[in-house]
Amino acid sequence: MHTEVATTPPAEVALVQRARDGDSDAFAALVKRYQRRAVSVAYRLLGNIEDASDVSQDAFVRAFGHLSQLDDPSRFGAWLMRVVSNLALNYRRSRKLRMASSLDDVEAASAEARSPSGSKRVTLGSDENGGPLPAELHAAITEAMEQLPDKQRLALILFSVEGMPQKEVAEILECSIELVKWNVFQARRKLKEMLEPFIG
Amino acid sequence: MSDEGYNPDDPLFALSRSLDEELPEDVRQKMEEALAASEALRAEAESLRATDRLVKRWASPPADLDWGRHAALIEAQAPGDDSEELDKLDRLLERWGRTVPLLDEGSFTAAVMAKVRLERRRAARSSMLFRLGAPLAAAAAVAIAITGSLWLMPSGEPIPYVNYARELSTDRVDAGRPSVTVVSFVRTPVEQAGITVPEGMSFGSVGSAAGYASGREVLLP
Repeated sequence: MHTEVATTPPAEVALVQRARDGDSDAFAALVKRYQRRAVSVAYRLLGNIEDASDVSQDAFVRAFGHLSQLDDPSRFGAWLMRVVSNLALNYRRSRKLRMASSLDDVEAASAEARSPSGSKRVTLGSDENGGPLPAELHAAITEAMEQLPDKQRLALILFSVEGMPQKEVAEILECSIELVKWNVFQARRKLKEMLEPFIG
Repeated sequence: MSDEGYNPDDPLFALSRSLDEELPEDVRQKMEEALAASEALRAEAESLRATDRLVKRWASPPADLDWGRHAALIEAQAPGDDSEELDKLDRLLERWGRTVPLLDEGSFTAAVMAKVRLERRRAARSSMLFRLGAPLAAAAAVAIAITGSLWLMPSGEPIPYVNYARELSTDRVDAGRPSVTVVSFVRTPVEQAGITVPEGMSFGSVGSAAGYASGREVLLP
């Protein structure tokens, strides 16, 4: 799932160089190449597709305007994701987004799961290999992710969810690979505590 | 970057790493020894693995469901004609399927490029304003410097327009220091202003320039 060597194809380097020279067709090609990942990362951070799409679009526009600051064209992907992540986190902080499911619903679901007769308790042993998550569990995980510190959530989303190489995540987060691993671990540990009612 | 209590020797940290990568032999061995020695740690480790599996399932992209087959399977398993339960299940699956909403990629790209073009036009306009405005501003600055207004006169007195005349001969100034005569187009007659008009110059009137020691000559810096 993770490839530790993130090499940028020469074709993409050429696109970045042309875009840096003002070629908007080259930039449009870069947009097509990275838009799914950008929106996906923003969506994981913001929780709704409209905001994710808006923030991602702004990130691309900002990236185009600041391409001259990108010294190494082969680092475009990581650089862009950093712009997306920073914009999404700033947007989140400023707008105080709420996730789709309310906290009351999650607490009610948690309480029901903890009850001795909670028939909706999910034990992973029974269906851990597939099948859809129950909506309550999905909502609980979403809410738990929301409560993680920004840096830990970002590390987990970029690495564990989006499958980016640790080296690339480290570039995006501007830290060492070791700290990426540490933050992923911290995120998992906190999620484990918050999702304890749902874990067998 | 947060390094909240960073402890590379934490056996659970090693376990977390083992979910993602091949551990170095010495690290793996230490982790396994710690797990073997503690039931509580083993339980924690299993919970951590379970959490990781949960997160991956939470984040997995929507499967391309064969809705026809899906409906047939449900029908086969559903007791009788409990259509309400079937509807609930369908809605639940549909919600799960919307884990990451589908992106209209064509529209997204078009929207981004429209915004990029708008930004470029704005940047070009700003640049043009600067290209036209800078010389104008410079000319205005020179004009003001040459024919500046001094609003320093006390009220009731005529406000002079100061105009730098051409440089005087050196016998009128402190030895070695060049100067220009500050004269103005002002309404004050020469005699009243007490300023000597240098030879070769003639103006309708002259006035005093407030702030200068002599009011007649301005020593250049």
